[in-house]
Amino acid sequence: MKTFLLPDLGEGLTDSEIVAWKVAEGDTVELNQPLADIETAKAVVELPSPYEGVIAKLHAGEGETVDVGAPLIDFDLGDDDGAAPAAGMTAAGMTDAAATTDAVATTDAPGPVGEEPDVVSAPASAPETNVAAQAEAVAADDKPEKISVLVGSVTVHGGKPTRSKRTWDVEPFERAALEHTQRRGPNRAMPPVRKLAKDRGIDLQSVRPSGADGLVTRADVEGAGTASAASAASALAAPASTREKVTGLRKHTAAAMTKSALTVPHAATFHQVDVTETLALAKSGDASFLALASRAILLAAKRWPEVTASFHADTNELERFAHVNLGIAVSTDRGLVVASVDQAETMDAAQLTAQIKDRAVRAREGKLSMEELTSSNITISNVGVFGVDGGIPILNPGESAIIALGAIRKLPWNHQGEIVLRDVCTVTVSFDHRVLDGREAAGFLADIAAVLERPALALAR
Amino acid sequence: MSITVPAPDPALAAGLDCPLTVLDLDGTRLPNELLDPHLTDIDEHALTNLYVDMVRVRRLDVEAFALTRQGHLVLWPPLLGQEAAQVGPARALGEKDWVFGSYREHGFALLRGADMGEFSRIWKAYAHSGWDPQEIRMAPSQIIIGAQSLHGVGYAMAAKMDGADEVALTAFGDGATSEGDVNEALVWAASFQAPVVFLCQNNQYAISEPVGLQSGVPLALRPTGFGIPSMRVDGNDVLAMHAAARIAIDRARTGGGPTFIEAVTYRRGPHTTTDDPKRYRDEAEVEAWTAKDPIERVERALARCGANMEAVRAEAKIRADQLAKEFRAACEHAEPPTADEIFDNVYAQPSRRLERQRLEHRAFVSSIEAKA
Repeated sequence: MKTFLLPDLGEGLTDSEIVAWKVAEGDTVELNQPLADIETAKAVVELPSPYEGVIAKLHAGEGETVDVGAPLIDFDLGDDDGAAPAAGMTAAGMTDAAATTDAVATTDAPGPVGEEPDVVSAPASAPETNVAAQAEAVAADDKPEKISVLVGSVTVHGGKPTRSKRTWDVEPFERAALEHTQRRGPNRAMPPVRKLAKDRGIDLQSVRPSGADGLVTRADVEGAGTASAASAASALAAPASTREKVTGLRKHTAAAMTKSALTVPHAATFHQVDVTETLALAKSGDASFLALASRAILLAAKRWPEVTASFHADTNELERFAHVNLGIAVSTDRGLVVASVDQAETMDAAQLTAQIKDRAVRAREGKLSMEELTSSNITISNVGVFGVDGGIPILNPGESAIIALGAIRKLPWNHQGEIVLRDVCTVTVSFDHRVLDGREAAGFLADIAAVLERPALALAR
Repeated sequence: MSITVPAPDPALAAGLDCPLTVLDLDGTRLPNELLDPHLTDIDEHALTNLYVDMVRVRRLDVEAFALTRQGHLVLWPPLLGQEAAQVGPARALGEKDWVFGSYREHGFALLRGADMGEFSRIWKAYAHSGWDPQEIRMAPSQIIIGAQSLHGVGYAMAAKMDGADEVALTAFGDGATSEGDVNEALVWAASFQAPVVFLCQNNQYAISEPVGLQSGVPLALRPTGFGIPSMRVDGNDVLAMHAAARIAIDRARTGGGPTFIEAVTYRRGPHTTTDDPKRYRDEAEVEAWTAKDPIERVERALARCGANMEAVRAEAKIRADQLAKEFRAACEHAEPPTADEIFDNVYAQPSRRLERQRLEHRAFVSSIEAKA
């Protein structure tokens, strides 16, 4: 039996998706016979069989994402050469082997070279000296990024290739002076030293570096550990930070918001609105305040149709929609979703109340269809439920406006020439400045406000 | 020294209107005034050898592609479709001549005699150069587009100074002709009348950029602007490529200076195993070029000669399968280099500073081992 592990099919990929299997368990396959179509971040590629034999097990189904290095297929080769995974298939194996060989080589020849006095002696019995830290390796804190080039890839640190500083001909006291003037930015350390600090719960930034070029050495971290053993112990008990994998809706939201915030020039406008009459209407009738506010938005959208348009930057086109599909932002246990009430402009307030409630309930149950989650062309977000007056919402990708309703507060207000307590709500419109200018956005917001202040106006619109 | 650079001169280029061809698609032999005198010794036996070479080159390429998908190689730039453009010239070179190629010159590497075990190490990212360049007289695969043209010209200039009987052939793609390096190489080759052959495999794409975007005129016209004679040859016709290379190599060897050959061919596979050509070209285009397959064309020609094709195919298959097996075994058994070896090939002579760094590195590694 041989287990085939998914290789890196691009350059530096971490996973791939199984698009389709071309074989089934029990099939006999030849060497290099196509087994599956696999989609990487770069292309859909065909996987040729690495062995001649029988497919004993397929470890993943179609549509599933498999990590590089994870078991993909078990092969029955018809011989009994053990069940070990195919060796040499993963980069990890290579690294281990290299590290081991090096360590052996080290104990063999640890002494100085030649008779040059300034050669650094590196006895294996005292490996904790700073010798390693003085080596000219680069240990930037920023995460290396792999960039594809013509026929390979290059690893860059912080956007540009890094190069170690020339330090070999600098005298120690000069070096100290240089350190003082050149040191800027966060403390740096070799990866194993960073790991040591992390394992011990020591903040690298709190350690005084003693290595060449301002590097934090292993000894520095160990020294810091002794000096603040108590705090280190408590740090171990409660680490300064933890990390967890972001998945599902949170991951999706993160991607959507990043895309929207980075690709759309956002602008926003605010208006404090006296909603006393609308609130009274909501309390007396079948329609919720949110539904009535939605009606106000829909009436305003009729006058400013661009607010539901969609800007396509790739083709420089503005897409206008026949209907207003009103997206309702719903906060659920799993994260934020925007559920659409399609053709909302055809509904009265009672219908809207029912539809909004329906979307909220089903959103929390996770029962919304993909269509309902993606069809909106303008969004309303009732952030007031969290007790705040507003904020600048990020647009739902593809939309040109999002309206945030703040908390309704009793505020002293100029009402018909007198100061009285009124129900006041801040309404925010965040908009895509490629589609709308301030004039349109302000006009749209003023129209919403006018109806909320005097709901009777709706009769006239 | 004064350097005169003439304007592009169509009279210096052969095959501008239609690439020079001697084997028709159906395998019939077409007469060609320029090439025929250089093919008089090519009989059925010689053609069979060229055929077997191409089948082996293709098999190696296909096997390496699969090995990349199976995780044994890191990357592979396939040459599928370009077999004739490499085998024809490779078999025209003398033993002492040199090849300076790009990263796609697997046909040259195989025919120059690269050891498959050493060859696999390049594409496993275990070695910068798999083979000993001096031994097979082929420089390491050049990744920098077109840089090898300068190396080739430099070698040729040195050979001329030494009075050595050696010719340098530098192989590159259509995209490289847009690079400064190749143009500089043409200048130097022309000025010093270096014994060099420029072999441009115009496979129609510089990764995703079609050749038409790079040049409004046939690539073979470009070198004439440097005063270098050129030939535009059907790159899927192994005999035409063989004859053209013989002309160019003879000229270089007899003091006639450089020649440029544009092999009009097609890369049927992706640029590399991480490329998706469907994003930039039509399947119909690939099919049209598949119909011009260089190997099938020779099969038809051999059949017309009355060769026992069943036997020829069987022989080629046995040798190709043997090669694939050997290459696969080499890939599976290759040992990765140790980190310590990084220090070995920095300078030709060991330096104290580097030795010190090697020791520091060893101490660093052992410090991790000791603490782990």
